[in-house]
Amino acid sequence: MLLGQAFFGLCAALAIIGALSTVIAKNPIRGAMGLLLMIVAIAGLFLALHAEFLAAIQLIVYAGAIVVLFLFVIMLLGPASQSPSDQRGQIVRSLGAALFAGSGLTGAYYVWHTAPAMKKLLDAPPNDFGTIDTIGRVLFSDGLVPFELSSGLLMVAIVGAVAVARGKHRTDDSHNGRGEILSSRGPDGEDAKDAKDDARTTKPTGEVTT
Amino acid sequence: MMLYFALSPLAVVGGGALLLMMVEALSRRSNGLAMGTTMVFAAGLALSAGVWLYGVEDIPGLEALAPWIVIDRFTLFFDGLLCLAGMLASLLAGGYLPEHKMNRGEFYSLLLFATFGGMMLAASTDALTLFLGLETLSIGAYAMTAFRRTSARSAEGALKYFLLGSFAAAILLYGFALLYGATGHTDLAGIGGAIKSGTKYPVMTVMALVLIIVGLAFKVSAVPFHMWTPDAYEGAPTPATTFMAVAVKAGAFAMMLRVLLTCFGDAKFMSWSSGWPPALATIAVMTMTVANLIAGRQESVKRMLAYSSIAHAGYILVGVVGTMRSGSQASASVLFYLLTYTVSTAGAFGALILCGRRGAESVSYEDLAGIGRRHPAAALPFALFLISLAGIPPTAGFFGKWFIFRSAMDGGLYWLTIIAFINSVIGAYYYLRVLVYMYMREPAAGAPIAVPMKSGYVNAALLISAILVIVLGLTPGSSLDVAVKAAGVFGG
Amino acid sequence: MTTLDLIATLVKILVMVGFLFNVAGLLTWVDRRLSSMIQDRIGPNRAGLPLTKKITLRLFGLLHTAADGVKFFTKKDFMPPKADKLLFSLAPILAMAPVLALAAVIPMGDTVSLAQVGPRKLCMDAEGHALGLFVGDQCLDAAKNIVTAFASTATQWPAASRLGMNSSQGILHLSIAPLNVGILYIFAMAGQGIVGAAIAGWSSDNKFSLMGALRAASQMVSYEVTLGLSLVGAMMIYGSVRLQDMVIWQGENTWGIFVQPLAFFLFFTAAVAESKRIPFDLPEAESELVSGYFTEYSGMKFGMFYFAEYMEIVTSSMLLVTIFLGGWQLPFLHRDGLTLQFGDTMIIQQKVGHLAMLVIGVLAFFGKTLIICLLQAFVRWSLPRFRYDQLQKLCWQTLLPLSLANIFATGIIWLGLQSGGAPVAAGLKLASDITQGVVAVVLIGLVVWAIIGMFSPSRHLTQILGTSAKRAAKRGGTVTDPMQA
Repeated sequence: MLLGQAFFGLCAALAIIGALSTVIAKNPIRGAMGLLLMIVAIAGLFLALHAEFLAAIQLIVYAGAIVVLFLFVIMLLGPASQSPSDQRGQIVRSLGAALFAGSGLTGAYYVWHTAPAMKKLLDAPPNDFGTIDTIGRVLFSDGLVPFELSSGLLMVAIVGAVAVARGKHRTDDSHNGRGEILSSRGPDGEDAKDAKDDARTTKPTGEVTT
Repeated sequence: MMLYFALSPLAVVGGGALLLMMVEALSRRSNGLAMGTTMVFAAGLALSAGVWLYGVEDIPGLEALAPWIVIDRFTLFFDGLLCLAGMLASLLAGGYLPEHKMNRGEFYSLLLFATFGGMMLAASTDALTLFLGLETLSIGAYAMTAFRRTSARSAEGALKYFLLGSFAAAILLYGFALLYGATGHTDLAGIGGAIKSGTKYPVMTVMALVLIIVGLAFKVSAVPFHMWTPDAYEGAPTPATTFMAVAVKAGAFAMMLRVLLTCFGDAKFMSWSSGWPPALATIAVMTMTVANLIAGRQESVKRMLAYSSIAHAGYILVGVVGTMRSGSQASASVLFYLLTYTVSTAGAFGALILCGRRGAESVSYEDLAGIGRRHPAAALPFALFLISLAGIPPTAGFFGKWFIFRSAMDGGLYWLTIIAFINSVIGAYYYLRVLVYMYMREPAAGAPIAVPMKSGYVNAALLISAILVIVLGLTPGSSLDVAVKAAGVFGG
Repeated sequence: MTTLDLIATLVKILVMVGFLFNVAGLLTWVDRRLSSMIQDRIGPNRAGLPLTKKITLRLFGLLHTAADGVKFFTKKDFMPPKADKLLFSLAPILAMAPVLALAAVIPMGDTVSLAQVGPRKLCMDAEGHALGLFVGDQCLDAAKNIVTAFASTATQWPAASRLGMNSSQGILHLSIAPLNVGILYIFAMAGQGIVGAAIAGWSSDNKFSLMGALRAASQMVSYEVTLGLSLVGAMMIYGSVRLQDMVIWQGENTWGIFVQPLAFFLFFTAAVAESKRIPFDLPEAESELVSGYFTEYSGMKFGMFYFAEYMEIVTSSMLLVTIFLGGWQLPFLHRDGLTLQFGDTMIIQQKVGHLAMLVIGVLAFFGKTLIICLLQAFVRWSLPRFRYDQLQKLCWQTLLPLSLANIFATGIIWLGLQSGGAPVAAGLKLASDITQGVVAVVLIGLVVWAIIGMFSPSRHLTQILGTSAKRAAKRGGTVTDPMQA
């Protein structure tokens, strides 16, 4: 039990340190690094719970993609992304912090007191709990319905991202009733569009007219 | 096989969305997309009606979907309602988007997928699918709000909506996490059963209830969680606003009824002294009063309609509170109200779209001045929908309010009914103000004169809504029967 | 965890890390010599150890690597005055650590069956748990008492029991940590490398570095998608995400490159892009960004970035070998020896001892890795750099759709083949045996060619004249005409 507890303690401490530095750090990059530390530590906690697949996914998705995205955005914004300290709304902010800290502590208190009893409420995990095989099997049998439905969520997120992030509107600049045609993709792909935008309004491409 | 028949409304909307995306990607014209989307929604509506008429109770094999989703009359009612809302929104988009130079195919796929999410939400009986459906619906709505990319207002509205919406979803999720901790279940029936038989962790359950109510109240934009609504509604393209006002709200109320009546439907949590009704009643009173007071002060009709939709959420909440004593009668009144609200609001936004054209979208009262005399064909339906929203007989809105108030009275909630009634009188003021501007004012000297746009799509949407408003207003009985049957799934 | 496990793990770490470091060091030399060969230069060959006054040990410039190492350690460790000190120092570690960690799951060789190793036998208890090795009649386990005390606590650690460190069952995996999640661990680790490059550029307080970091982050995030998706088809066919199982499948059937040819190229391309080398070296493009995100680094911190890049080549080659080129497997060599068999026709069968097969396997694995490393070096000096938009376009518009199509096609074909029944299975078996035969012929041909090349008389003239000069000489020379000069 010793090694397991030491491992848990280490990961938990790192997670708390990471979380705190995420919130406290003035420099946004350091905040992101704190987040990374917390994510890695939580992956360690998952590992100790036999959820190896979850740990790997945690690292791939959160550390490998989301934190990198944060870093990317912060770097794009440049050094100006360090906001000047904002003194407004101190009372509301402190109240909010107190509220969250209070509810967090209450939650922790209840978990502390009810955890042993709750353990009995839940079934003991089977021997192969958390492996890829088991998760795959559950996903495609018991959990098939939500698994299939989640594809709807992913699709709407992708389409939404495209709709929000896509380049300039290229729709009906012309008044000859062929406006919508321009919204479809031209033969030269997405990235040439800005340069060709103006040319297209006056001179539709051959494919359009035929 | 019959299982697929039962699932067909859901499948046709999701599959139709994928199909239309392929069509959009491969074809060079996107003109027909609005028509295609409308057809998909019409098919969804027809199929839900078909399953309803066949009798969903007779379909074998539905337990294969348990515990994730359930296809019952409640689900089918909302499937049909959401398809109707989606159809009206897509018809409006078919006129609005080309007129305002943003005819991009993504809008229709977002519309279809968001509706798919809403139908998922109405069908789900597990916290997991509930959350999936909620997020699908919300993300579609966020993206549609931000659809007008060049507009700062659109970006502002979308950002507020997205950030606050994500918080609300997280809060809801915390609530369900606590419930899982307290009961060991994620499926609503299991949670309900565990709570009924007395959970060992009452404090945790109550905390969960509070968090869930906060999350739900945000999604139906009830005061004090309504801050995002006016900005998001105003910034979004009007068809998206229509969708948010009707479909998102309907989906959220479906979730609210399902969660509250299944999880917290036992005698203790349904009672006035120790349950959720007083909390919801407070929220309802605040929602109605605040929204109506602010709506009267708006200069923008679109913003006024946004506040009016908040106020309507308040009335519907009165009906939800009513379920504590009058049971399925109150839930049926909520469903019926949602139906009348959907057709009236979609029609009102549609008429607002019709009154503007490229570069001159009409948003303020001044924009509408004098339109009644110059373009009666545009003003008349607008007037009809506003009258229905105000709840004046013989329109659909009147019977919606009537059933809600009656079920609240039957439940003995006299004071709540009185407050709601006073509020609907206040509400009539700002609805009628539009009529005053349209019919009794002339535009100020030198001000641009509104010219309605010409679009068969918008006309069709208005026609459908107008027919429904009048039919529901003249013969509310048959559709109330449908609502009663749908609400019957909760028993009692 | 028993003593055996501890010792075995340490040995495995030593072998793996030793190989990584040495080959990465060697690669820096190969890279330079190869570039000189391709560019008609002689290349670095000056560094040497002066043995006496006249004789200097040069070893074809091999000592340049050592000289570089010494230089890294002795150079001033400069830090820009406005740099973020903590992150600036952290970045090289974050760049290097994931690459090292990556190697932990790569299997070097077949599973060792301890009962068969050598003349000594394991002493086991009644349930087959290994206690130690017999020496004579005595069960030898030097630190047994201490270790059992430790082990009784250690085995409680949840992760330990399932890592496959089960010498207690008499077998030993030849990878440092045969994780259950296998390949996902690799993606998890590969993803962490981005952070190192990104914060290196940010913390240096330099516009060039920042540009480089932005490019590195976006490039690596983009190509990671392809890297992961290209392997899905392979995972479907192998029916596992564990690298061990993948190699075993390839030994029983045929190498992955034959069943997933498209995925091989996609993975190879994405892996080169992940290691940020030419033609994907935009994050450190010398002609535009000085040297990109590590412009401000000097001394050993620079050395770590530099070395991490070469180690990444080695680990990506190892992965490629493991997933597509049969890992430790050689054609027709199985656990029990040589079995030359086409379909049902047996040609030769020859039993070989377990230990010998193990050694052959490990050597084959490292040999294949070296060949792929060389291939990567060739790629580096043969292709020009992409433009940035071309880079992103290649990823999102070519490689990603291709990898998705690959998954789709693999799924359909695999389903069809599996429902084909016995005749299809027999045909597939024959086809895979034939591919193995082809591989064997090619490999033997390569070895013969290399040996011939080694023993053929060296042609001093051609060593001085490069290809273009040779071509010119063939046409009668370039400067023979005085009027042209």
